[in-house]
Amino acid sequence: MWNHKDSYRVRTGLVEKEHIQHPSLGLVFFPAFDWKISATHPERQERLLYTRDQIVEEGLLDLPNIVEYNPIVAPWETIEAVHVGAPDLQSWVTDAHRVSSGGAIAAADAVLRGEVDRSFALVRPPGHHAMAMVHGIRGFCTINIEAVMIHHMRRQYGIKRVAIVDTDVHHGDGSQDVFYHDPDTLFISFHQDGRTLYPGTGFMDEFGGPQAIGGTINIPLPPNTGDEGMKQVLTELVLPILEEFKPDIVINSAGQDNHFSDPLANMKVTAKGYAEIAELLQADIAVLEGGYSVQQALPYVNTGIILSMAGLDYSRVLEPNYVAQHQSQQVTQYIDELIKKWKAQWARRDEIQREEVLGCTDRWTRSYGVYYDESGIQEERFETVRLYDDKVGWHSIESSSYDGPYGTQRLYAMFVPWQADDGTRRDALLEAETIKERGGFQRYVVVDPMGFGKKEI
Amino acid sequence: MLLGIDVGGTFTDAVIIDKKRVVASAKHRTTKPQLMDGISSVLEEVLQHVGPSDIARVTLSTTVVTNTIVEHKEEPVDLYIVSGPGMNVDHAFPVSPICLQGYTDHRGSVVEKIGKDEIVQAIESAKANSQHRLAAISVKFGVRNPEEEQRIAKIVNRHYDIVSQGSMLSGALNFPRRTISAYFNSAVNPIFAEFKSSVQQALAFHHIEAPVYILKADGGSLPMETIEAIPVETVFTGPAASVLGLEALSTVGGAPTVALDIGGTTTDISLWKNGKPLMTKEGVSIRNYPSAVRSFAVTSIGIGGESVIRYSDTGQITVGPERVGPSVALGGMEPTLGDALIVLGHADYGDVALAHTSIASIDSSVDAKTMAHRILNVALETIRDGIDQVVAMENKKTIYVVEDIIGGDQFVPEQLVVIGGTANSLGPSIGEYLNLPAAIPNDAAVANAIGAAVAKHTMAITAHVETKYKLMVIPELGKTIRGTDLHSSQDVLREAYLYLGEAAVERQLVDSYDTVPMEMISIEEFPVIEGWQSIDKIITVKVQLEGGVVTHVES
Repeated sequence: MWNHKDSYRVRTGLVEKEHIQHPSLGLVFFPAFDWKISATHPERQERLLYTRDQIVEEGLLDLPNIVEYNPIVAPWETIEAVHVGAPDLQSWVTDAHRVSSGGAIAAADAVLRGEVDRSFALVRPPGHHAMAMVHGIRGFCTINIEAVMIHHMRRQYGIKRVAIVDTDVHHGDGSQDVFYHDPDTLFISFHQDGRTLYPGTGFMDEFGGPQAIGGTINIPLPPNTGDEGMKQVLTELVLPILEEFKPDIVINSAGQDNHFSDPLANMKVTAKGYAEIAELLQADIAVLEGGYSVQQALPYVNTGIILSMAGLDYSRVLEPNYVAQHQSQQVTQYIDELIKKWKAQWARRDEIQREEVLGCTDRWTRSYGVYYDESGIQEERFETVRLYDDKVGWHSIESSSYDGPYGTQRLYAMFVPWQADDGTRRDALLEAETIKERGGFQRYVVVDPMGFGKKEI
Repeated sequence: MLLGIDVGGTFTDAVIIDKKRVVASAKHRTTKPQLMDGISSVLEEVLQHVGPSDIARVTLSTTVVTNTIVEHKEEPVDLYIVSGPGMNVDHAFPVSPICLQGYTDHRGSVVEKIGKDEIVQAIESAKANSQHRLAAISVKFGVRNPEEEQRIAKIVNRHYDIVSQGSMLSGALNFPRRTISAYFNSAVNPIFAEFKSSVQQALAFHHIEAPVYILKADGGSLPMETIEAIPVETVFTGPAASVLGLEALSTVGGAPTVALDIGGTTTDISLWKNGKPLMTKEGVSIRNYPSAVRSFAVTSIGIGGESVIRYSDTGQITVGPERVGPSVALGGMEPTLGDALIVLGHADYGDVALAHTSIASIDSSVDAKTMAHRILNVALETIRDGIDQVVAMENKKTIYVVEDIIGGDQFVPEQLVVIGGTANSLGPSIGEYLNLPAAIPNDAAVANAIGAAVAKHTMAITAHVETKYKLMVIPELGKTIRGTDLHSSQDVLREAYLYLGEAAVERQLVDSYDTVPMEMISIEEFPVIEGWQSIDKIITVKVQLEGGVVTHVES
């Protein structure tokens, strides 16, 4: 167990273990009953209605070891330390997004101040498909609420090593993008195989950028994976990797669409299965992501996760009219093989890192496209990473899109790493200014999360 | 004329109010167990000036139910629940519940139904062990469809004298709270029946024939006959009467206000907005069990005029929370906050020299004045922390919509109102310390009885409509209406007002429902999308009779 079952406040000595009679859970509940993408969209007002009904009817908020926290409105400067928007963030980010990411921040504060042992931000709209560069809405997401929260944790509390375990059925491509070049943020996503589901990415070979190989772990699971497959992947692969990574904090992007009743995916996980996953993972902070079986799954999955994270008995959490879910022999075999392949890749990660930068001088580049399904926008990117022998370098994106509601967007964004020293920062600014002299973009934005924040040059 | 009687733990008070004026009042010791004697004494005194036939209405507030619960003297109850899958509630209630199979889901669909034989079996096996005559029944999501609860209650009814149903006591979600309400409602039923007969005897003895009402925790009153079925509603009417007294005496203005009622042992804190006291969000806690009983939000903290002073070896001062006896100035053994206030010249009673000696003797190296100052500061800190906590609780409401937080109106106190025995000596210091204007109204010794006398009748119902099933339920009235065509929240609101008005007339709270002042508490409307189409809605509307006072009283 990566944390030896000790909560953050015990691990860091904020509170002595003997003083905790029963572990506590901070709960931020923000169902955004007045926010929708469109009337019949899965992200509509009704999404957390039945979850609210269930939580309130169960009396969970009256339990002495469950502490309710209000969300805050995330400050623009916190969002701007993660994201760059085209034409700007204000064109896409609504108050609901700021409250949702503010909910994640409030959940993090509760844990990092040592007020509770763990916390759960049961908020919407979600964020794990939102990348650092935002030209529109993708996969129901606009800003990455976990990434905004992680920036807040680094800036306010000096947290260094963070691991995100994304248990949403969809690949968390946004979170992967934000942290792809950060060796101190481990991103693990297990999801239904991208060949069978949106967003079509999240394969084993997306393994982290040249300076963060092994910092991104994708475990594409076959359709019809059930509780046992999930738990197997968790215990045989995810937990050992976490243990090796030695995170200061572990975050669970707690999507709930692996549920057998979810209309957008094809998995077989149960509410109790989710509760067991939460107990195995021991995340410090969980943040709701997807999950669209709003009546048959979410009320029970959320009750299960809350009870589990609060250290309470979840054995009686069961979907009404529950029919036993079985994972086929075929699926189990596939997962056995997958874990084997993964262990082999993990063992080779240093070798892969060497191969990745072979032939590079101090630059590594790639080109790729990003599609914003909700806004119908295609963005093209040219990405550059500055490589150093002994430290984390900047990365930049030269970005363009043509067919969005705001017309042609040509944007240059320079991302200074949060680990940057003065030298790295200077190099990054110099590079950005050189690009600006060359011209061709409407905006030149430098993001320096731990330094000056956001700057237009 | 209105007659108000407050049967408290120590004193029984009575007032008669005629056209905004208190025309008679009396205070006598509460007599236990023969409550009738104390009630009779105050009645005799106030009736010296007023004829019994002039009294149009009698309202009582009482701590009888509260004290029974606090002292664990309620009668045992067999508690039947249908909790279905979810949280383990084996240890959530004062007794181990008798669990019946079955489940009603959040949409009110009965997913699993328990057979009649199984219910009877469960009852027989419970009766074989306990032979209790009281029972309570509570079904998870019973407020979304009370039919299961009613069906089971009908069967349980044949085996017990009294059966309470959770969903009839509250139409709000929260199964454990409704269960606690139902449990205590049955548990205090016998003691309330006794109280009722004491009151009836006392009133009959004095030839008072006016209708009799009982004050509830939410500051409203209902006819004694109605309350007999819902006695749990009368818990904590002491603070309710006091808060209502404040309202009747018009002591609180429109600004956000913190009211402090400083007694000997405790200080009751209530918050006010627009001249109205704030309510608890879900209900009051009964013996640490959260219940569904609506009440004013009154929080007691352990500090008062006779809080004992303790002094540690390291020079640490504590004030309260215990009270060991009266102040030294009044013949007590240990120095109190009151003694310190006397030393500072803020209070003026008892033997001033004794107060001085007691404060000076706390630490021989510190003179009495300095020590008294330090004591006052500790007391002020305690009160401030208490107020801060209450305000924080008020501001920590669940944020359901963006508007709640973006335009969220936070409670920020702008003034203080201080009442109670220690108000004059401590009030100004609190105001100064918190930098807020502090009003100290003339101490109305019988404010509780006044509050009771002028209480309006209150009653709340919840109408929940599922357009898909053409179903409307009003749990508090035990109504399940099928075939309804209501499709908008405005329609449901109109219908809810009709049902509430009807119920008010039925309970003789009003003559006709054209005259009933009603208000909406909350309204919620959700489009339901199934199969990617939006045709149905879930609508929940809560309405109530307007609370408050029938008349203000000049002090």
